[in-house]
Amino acid sequence: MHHSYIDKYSELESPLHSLDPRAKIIFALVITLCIVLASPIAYFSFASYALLVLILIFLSRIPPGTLLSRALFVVPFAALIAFFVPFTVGGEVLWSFASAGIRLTVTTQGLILFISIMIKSFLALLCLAVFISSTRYSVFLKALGDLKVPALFVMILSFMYRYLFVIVDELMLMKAAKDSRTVGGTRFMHLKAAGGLAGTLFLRSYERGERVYKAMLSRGFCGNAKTVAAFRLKRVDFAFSAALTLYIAATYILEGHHGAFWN
Amino acid sequence: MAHSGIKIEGLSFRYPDGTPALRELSLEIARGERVGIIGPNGAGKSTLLFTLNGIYSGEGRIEISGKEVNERNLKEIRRKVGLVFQDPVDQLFMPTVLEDVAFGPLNLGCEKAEAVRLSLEALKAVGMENARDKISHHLSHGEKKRVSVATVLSMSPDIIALDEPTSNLDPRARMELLDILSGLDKTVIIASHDLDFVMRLCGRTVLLDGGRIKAQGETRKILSEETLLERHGLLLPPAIEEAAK
Repeated sequence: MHHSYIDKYSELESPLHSLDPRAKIIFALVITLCIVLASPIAYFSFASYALLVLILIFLSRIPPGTLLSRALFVVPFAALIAFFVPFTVGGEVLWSFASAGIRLTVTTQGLILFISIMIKSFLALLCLAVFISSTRYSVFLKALGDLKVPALFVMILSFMYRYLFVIVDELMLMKAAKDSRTVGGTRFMHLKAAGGLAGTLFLRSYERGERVYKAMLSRGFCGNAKTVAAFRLKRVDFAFSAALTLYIAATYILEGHHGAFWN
Repeated sequence: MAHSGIKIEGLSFRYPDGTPALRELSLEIARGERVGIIGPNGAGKSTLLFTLNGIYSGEGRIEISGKEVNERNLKEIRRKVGLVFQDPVDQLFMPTVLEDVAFGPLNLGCEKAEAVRLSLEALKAVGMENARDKISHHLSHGEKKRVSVATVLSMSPDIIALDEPTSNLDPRARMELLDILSGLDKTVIIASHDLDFVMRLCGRTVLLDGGRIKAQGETRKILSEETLLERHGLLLPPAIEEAAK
């Protein structure tokens, strides 16, 4: 079975795809940090970064719908974390509710903060999605190694990528085997079978891990992960980096300072 | 004089739960010899292969090209003995084919350029040089198997040991593997119950059951003894059955 979900659009040809992966990782981080650290009422910055992300999406030639769905997939988690913000931040009371000893108040500041968190997380995720989707995962891993991310960490990501699909394949086969034997029956029976399935999958993955480790040892592995990757920076990488840096600096200067929000 | 192949003396091995897998096993394999290790499931074939490069260590003594297998020599032993696992999914753990084949040479301390050169040579030997940047998950089972062989060839081992090399291979992939293995100028050990494959490749055959050697000798001779094979859960290979009629 083929699962190319992660690498589906990484083989396109576009200005963004041809950039040095190290530059992409650095700028994905820089832009994400800038978005996250912007003041909650820095509306101009939000608009500016949104425009930047749109430009990047355009440059990448990846269908915007795909990127949107990849980013939206994570937004509910951000919403869950930010859910209590409108109720807990002090300030001008917008709405309050009191009954049976429970008192809830929503403040204007809290609401603004909540909305800004949602906008920030969405923009940041979209930005990461466009950078990640335009880079082949194996190349992305090599670049992480080049950027001195600890080898152990890169190796964990690498194994995750390598065996995720193997495990998904196993799960699909096991599900087919279960479905061919559990026809009809009660919901409880199905749940019970699913529980067993999860346990079996865990055991199989565990045993697979042991075998893979043996295979690594057999080829002389002694704790240090090494690869043969090598990149060279091109002129276009410097041009891209300079342009992005200028854009971010301009946004920062044009936005001015917002000291008032936090009182 | 130091033995230039493999010398096993009184090897016993128990699994951590106490189940004995190998009992007092002694065997000598000459340099450049191709030996088939046959036997039913659970006979100890795979375990024997795992002891050759020190992944499992039991009682007794194993020498590879005159070097004893022990903690001190592990690195050298693992360069000398290339183990090809039954399931290529276990063997190919890196993101791309080239990185997988280069994994061994890099661990042996090769420079990157040298590791790439050795890897491309190994990929060429198995006819997979065009797959260097592919993701192994996207290869066919036969291709994965060939790349698995390349991952050990790149380490220039003296001995290649393969565990059930033909399992799940279609006939064409099986023949391709046969061609690759018979073209190698190395000691080859095959643990398998694909007797036809063993017959085509190996000059000598060792029959293992219950962790003991039950018979050994010239492959054709061992594989023609119907009662012996049946007693140990095996069947005459079709070619020999045909010839006997």
